[in-house]
Amino acid sequence: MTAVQGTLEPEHILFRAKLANVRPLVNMLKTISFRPRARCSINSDGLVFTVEEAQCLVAQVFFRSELFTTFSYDEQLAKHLNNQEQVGFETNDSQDDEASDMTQIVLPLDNLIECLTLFYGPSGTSSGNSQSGSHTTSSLLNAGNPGDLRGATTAVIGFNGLGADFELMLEERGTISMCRLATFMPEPPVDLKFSHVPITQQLIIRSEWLRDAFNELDPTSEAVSISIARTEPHFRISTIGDSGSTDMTYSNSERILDSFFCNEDQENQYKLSLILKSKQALAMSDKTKIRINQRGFLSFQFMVPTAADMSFVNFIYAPLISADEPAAADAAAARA
Amino acid sequence: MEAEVPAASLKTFYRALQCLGSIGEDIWIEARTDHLELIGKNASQSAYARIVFPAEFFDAYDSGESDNAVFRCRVQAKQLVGIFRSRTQAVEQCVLSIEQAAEPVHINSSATQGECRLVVRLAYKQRVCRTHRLFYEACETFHSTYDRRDCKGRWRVAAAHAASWVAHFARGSEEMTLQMTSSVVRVRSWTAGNVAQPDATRALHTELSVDPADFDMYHVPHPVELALALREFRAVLRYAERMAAPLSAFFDRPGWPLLLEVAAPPNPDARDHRQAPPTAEFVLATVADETTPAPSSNNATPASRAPTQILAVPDSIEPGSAPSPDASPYAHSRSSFAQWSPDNRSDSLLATPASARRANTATADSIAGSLPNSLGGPASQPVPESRVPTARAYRLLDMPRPYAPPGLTDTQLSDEHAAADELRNAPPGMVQTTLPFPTTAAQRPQGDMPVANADYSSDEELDATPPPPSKRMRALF
Repeated sequence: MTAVQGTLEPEHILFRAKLANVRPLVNMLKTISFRPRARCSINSDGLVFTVEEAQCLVAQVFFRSELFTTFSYDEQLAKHLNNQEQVGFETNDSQDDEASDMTQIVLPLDNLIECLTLFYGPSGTSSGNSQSGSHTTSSLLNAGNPGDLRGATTAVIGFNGLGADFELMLEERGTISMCRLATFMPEPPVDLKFSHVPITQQLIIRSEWLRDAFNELDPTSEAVSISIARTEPHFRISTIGDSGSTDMTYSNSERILDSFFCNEDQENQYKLSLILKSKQALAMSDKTKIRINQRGFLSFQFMVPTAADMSFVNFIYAPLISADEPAAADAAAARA
Repeated sequence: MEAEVPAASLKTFYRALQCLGSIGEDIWIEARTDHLELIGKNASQSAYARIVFPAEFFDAYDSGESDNAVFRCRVQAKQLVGIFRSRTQAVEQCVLSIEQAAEPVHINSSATQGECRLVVRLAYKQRVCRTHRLFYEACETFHSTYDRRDCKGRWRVAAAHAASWVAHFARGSEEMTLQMTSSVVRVRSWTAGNVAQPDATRALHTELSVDPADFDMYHVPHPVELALALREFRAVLRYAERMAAPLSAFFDRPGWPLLLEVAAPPNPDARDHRQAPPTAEFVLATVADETTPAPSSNNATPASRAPTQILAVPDSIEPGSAPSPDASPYAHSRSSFAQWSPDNRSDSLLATPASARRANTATADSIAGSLPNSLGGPASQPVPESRVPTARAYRLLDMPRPYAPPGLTDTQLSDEHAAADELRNAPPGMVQTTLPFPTTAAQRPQGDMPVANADYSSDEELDATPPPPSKRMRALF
């Protein structure tokens, strides 16, 4: 990491944004805070924070530029800086022009959250970040609520190119704090290539049902099996644990499944401990879109209400494949 | 077996499961033709609970067996309680059934092939369904032989009132004593004596007095003081409070177990299923007084040996040989325990509070008759000093003996029934293998109290020697 120090002067700034209330950002970052570092991708559409675990879970938080009070991103400067960097990088496939104006850095995620919650007070976590999966409403993100004094921190975020620190200026009720976070060189991302294969199953379910299901999953089980079929029962989540098996079935009624699409009947297994990492995002969301592609990769897309609009948190899982399945060889080959 | 719990009674069912779960680790289920029983006991086998759901409690009940056969099984309490703990408001239908070698349930390649499962199926509205398949173990159940009709003292009190007695006990309290006279009831908390801290003066103890007028019914012919473990008593109180039912207690004397019953009277105005509320009975062992004559099998006559045979586990005791008390593997350890005489610490778990007070007073003052608390006949006599170290029949370890030992089926039992007349004549609490105990007057001239006597032969019938509750005792075994 070079010692280039970025300043907050408007002309040379790569990225600068102002956020009236950090609470929505903090809440969404906390849902993916199970890893210490996150990759932050900035472009003119907004910020995307990505974490990955064990090469089979990728979680992303999308924070659109409209959610910021001011958002300025210098695309030309980004392209210029990226071209300079590409000399040393191996070129990836599919290098469109669109990708080259995106700035990618790796930030220490837990430090970032700690800085943003600097003014939260001795209790640490904000009142909106609830750990319980069930019975939480998603009206936690009251970004524009003037009566909510706690967490009414205003933040100005700035970043000036690879090598510079990620700068935060936080202000609450007259107290100003400047934070500088060290950034890291981004590594090649783990791309589970979810969209490269056609999606065979998709459904949108109200999050409260999914919350109940997650609470019932037997924690002694290693895998959770999700099966979607065209016949009854349409959607089934089951685990086999030390004490027996548990399964929850949902039918195709409108009240539960807002939309249901199934091209072929599939049953896939996923590691339970990883699935449970999405519990926090689930707690904050209203609805969840579950998509499974032809290779069995699962995507949870949680719709989280923020400031009169929706933000998305996306979790992508790779399926567990048992060794004696004939499809194992094909899937492994396809993934490689 | 198939039972459908009405949606409105799910809370009740859950309360019962929760109570059993807080007493022991396993719940035994016994399905008879006309009722379903849930049974639990604690690890040291000093507490027994049985909650009976009559068939009318359920929307649909089918025990699935013929009239004579009974289905019995055991499941882990934690799993069963956890199923009913969450979100039962939206449940439309709840069905418990037993699946035996049913069609295999496939989860990908790992098929759960036709294993025996207890299936709990909760159907919510909107056709959402949750199914749990729990492993169960077919085994024998057990019942208490104590009968409340044999108990001389009894009272009944509103549950909320009883709960207020123990609500303020300190956290470390492990035991409590109920001292009941005709004019006052004293409830006191105790902590177990610690080898390291013999005085235990730093522990907080609470004592409160209750007026018998607060009880719905109070009949205590002679004063009695019972010492029992607080944990199970609390579990019973919690259950009674949640069911909003009065708590009835039946007791006789220290050493004899305390029988508790929680049964809500059927409400004729409510809907049908509420007319058959579950009845719960609990048996809690109490600590024996030294002067209370322990049931002695040393005096076993040949006539009394016959019942021993009958009730012994068939495969462990050959017919025709009556096990003598000394043959029990635990006889030796008990006798060594008898010779051990610790200091008379008033808060020791091994000494009942009354005996401790008495022992202290006896050493300090030879006039024991001036004791403030009257415990009936035996206590007003001066306690001979030799009695104190030897007589330590620790009845808290006595477990409610099953009427039939595990292994006997109902058909076998009915054959032996006729020969077991002597059982009827035994007083309550007495294990069937010994004689009716001699009266207190007859036993007093007896020199030292045989402690290595308490029916060790029948210890083999049941699972294992219950672990001693206090650390000190564990060192002896």
